[in-house]
Amino acid sequence: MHGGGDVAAPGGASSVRAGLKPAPAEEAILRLDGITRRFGGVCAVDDLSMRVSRRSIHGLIGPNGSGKTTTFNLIAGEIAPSSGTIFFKGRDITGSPPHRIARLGIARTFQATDLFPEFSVAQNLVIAAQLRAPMGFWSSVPRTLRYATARGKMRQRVDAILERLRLIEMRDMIVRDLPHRQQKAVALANALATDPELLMLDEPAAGLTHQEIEDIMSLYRSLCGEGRTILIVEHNMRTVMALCDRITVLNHGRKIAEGIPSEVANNELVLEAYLGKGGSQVRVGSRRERGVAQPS
Amino acid sequence: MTVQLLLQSLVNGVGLSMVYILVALGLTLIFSILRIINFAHGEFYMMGGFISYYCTQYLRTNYVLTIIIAFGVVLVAGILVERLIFSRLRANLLAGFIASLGLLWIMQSSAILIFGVVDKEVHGAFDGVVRAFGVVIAKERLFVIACCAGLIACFYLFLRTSRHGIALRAIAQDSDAAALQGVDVNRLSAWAFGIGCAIAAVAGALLAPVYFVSPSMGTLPVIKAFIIIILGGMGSLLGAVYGGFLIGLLESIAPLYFPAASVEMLGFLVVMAVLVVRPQGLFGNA
Amino acid sequence: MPESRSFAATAGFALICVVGLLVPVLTDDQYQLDVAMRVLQLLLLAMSLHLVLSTGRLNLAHISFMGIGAYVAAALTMRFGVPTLPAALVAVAVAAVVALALGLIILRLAGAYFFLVTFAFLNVVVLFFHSFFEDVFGGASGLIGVPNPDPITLFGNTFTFESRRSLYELTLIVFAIGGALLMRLRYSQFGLMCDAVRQSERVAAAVGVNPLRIKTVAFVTASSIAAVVGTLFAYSQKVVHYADFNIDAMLRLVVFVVVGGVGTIWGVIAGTVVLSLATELLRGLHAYEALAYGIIIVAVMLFLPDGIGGLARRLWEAR
Repeated sequence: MHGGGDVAAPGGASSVRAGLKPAPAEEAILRLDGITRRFGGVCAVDDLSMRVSRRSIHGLIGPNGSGKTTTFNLIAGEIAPSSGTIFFKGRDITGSPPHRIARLGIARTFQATDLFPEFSVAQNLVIAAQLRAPMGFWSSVPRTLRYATARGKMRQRVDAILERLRLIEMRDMIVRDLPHRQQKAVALANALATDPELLMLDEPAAGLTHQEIEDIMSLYRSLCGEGRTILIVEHNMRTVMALCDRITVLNHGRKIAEGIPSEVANNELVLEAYLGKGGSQVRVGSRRERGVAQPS
Repeated sequence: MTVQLLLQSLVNGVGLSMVYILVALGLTLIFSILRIINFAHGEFYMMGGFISYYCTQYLRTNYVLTIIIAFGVVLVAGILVERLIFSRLRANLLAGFIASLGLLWIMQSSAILIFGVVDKEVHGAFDGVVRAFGVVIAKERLFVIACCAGLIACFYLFLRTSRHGIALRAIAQDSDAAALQGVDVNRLSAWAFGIGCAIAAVAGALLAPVYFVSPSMGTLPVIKAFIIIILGGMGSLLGAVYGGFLIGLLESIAPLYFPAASVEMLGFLVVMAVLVVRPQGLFGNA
Repeated sequence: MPESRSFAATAGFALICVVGLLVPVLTDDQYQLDVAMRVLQLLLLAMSLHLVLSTGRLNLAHISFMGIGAYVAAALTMRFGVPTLPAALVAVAVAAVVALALGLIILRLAGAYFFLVTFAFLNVVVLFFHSFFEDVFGGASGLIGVPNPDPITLFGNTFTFESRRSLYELTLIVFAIGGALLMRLRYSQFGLMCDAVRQSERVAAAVGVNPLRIKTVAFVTASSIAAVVGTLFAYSQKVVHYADFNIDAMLRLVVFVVVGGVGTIWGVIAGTVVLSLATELLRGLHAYEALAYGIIIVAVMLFLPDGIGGLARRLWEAR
């Protein structure tokens, strides 16, 4: 029961990637224009502009402290930028609160898995799923037939997502009792339950085995196939290079490089950022020896 | 309104402020170290008053000694209370608050059962008044002001310069980091609680000759103390001092111009406004 | 949704309603009827407080909305000759509007600050009814001698409220309706969302739930029900005085709720019933009552922080 795509192989990955050209402006589902965010004297994000194309997997990488998570928080509406604008599907969402951004179709996961700890897996998803099937205060009391059918449909949706992520056996387990790995899966399920067009993932591969990473990569590709877009922050270089169609690299809050993986991997500034000065001595050729997918 | 009356009110205001500041300092010390909202704080103030009554009435001790006894007894009592009750409730803010409520009821009803509800009079050490600039001050009040000022100054110096004082401030900022530096957080927390209560007790003992001593005498000061530290910033000692002066002076002067009920209500409305607009208080850090 | 818990709560609630029906059958004693009325009113007050607690906020001014309901209903009836039903409706409407205005401002605050703001508000309300508009609200003496509610005609029958027993029956009906509403909400999609907001506002917002909206709806609903209790209180106690809505009264309510266990509504029900009956038994032994209360509270907080409800739940899950 894999994520709906073929078993991941380097060839499979590149066939998706190779089809994509650099994003034309009108097709960008997400656009950041000169986003800056200051905290006191520190500039966490500095004049960042980027575009994410529809149905692509876009990577956001950079050393620790380069502003990746802050960028996520800015897009998700948890904090407002000090200056600049954010466009989603052509619409200005700068400064909108998180719940409205979720409503518009952006979902995110957190670095530390944030869930509702006292709820079961299914209950967690029900909260997220209700966004697309609102049954709020006024319908809760009279319990109309509409309420019952909407609730039934929602349960089906929830169970479908749990099946897809192989969580169905744990649907009634309390989330704080689950191992970390499965909590991460629940977090992803929550995000999917809001039926997002843009899925923002914050270090989803952390702590996973090689096989598990392959599994989720094929899951992400099938999500793109469904019409969704993925913006991913990730430290695991192998995953990023194999998975992403385009990569934006940050350092100290500024964008230092952007392009398809092979361009980024060979970029001197990027190597310097990660490895320090003199890091540009490291040659990309050695990566082939480690079996990382190369552009065909 | 004559200048005379205004000056007199100002002087009374200063005296009142000093006492409020002492109570507020204790409360904010306890909050910043232990993160509990101690509703029973006023009862330790009351305890100081009753110790003062008991000592002067039955033990016939001299006044200064009485105050020292009040400090010592309540210090021990506070440490015991922290060890037995609050140390177990550090994680849970609501449970700590409810427990402090229970403690308030225990202490107040015990006082009623032991001493009865009738107000008690305590004789101070000083009789007579001082006249200056057309203003009359009871010598007793002067003594109160002097003691309070001295105690506040000592407390400030203690926190700034002594090893334990610095350790306390470290805990207030970040108790985990302080623990990593080798500070015995549990032991110091108990002492902080004890000192906070003891300071309130001194305030109660000092004020005993000025007003009456009764089991319910702690209610009003603790509410005032809460208002002060909310305005000044919870956990901010300087805020407690400024806030104390502000409240004390306002309380003395405003009734000259406005009806008392409006002043009280205005006080609470200001508290609400501060909490909404600037929850960290006028002098606190976010 | 854990069906077992909702069954326990519904059963408990139904049980209380049944007992409530039996009380006037079993006794004619005015005093006992009064006690039963007070307990039912307190229960509805505690259950509505629980609605706010379920969103992660402790409203220390909950009883003030009861006070607003009581004062407005009584004043309209006594000073302006307004008939019962319109007076009650206006009283609840006023409380709802005040709750909405207050809620929108303060519900965005973090828990501890919200707590302190509501504490200040409680005092503002007490001072308001004590010192302002004395000819309307009675000043320091309050409003004394609230008349009985007007007779109602339903389905061709006329019901009058001249006896304690009829007032008790009115209380029971209001309790049944209000309590059923609160139970319904608790075990519904809305109740689940309240719980989600309590556990993590951040995650709730990230999945599209507006925390402020949930908190406000809960706050206004709970405060309106408190106002309904207030109007019942006014018509049954005959005296409306601000001392009944001060910090002491509120803290007693908080104790009922916390000892019962804030996590579950049936814990709240159990705690309120047990402690309010204990209060009645200890009435007149003031200092000893307070001492006993204090000891119980400290003991519960130290050994049973989840309250009776939490203990029961742990026993149930461990079986």
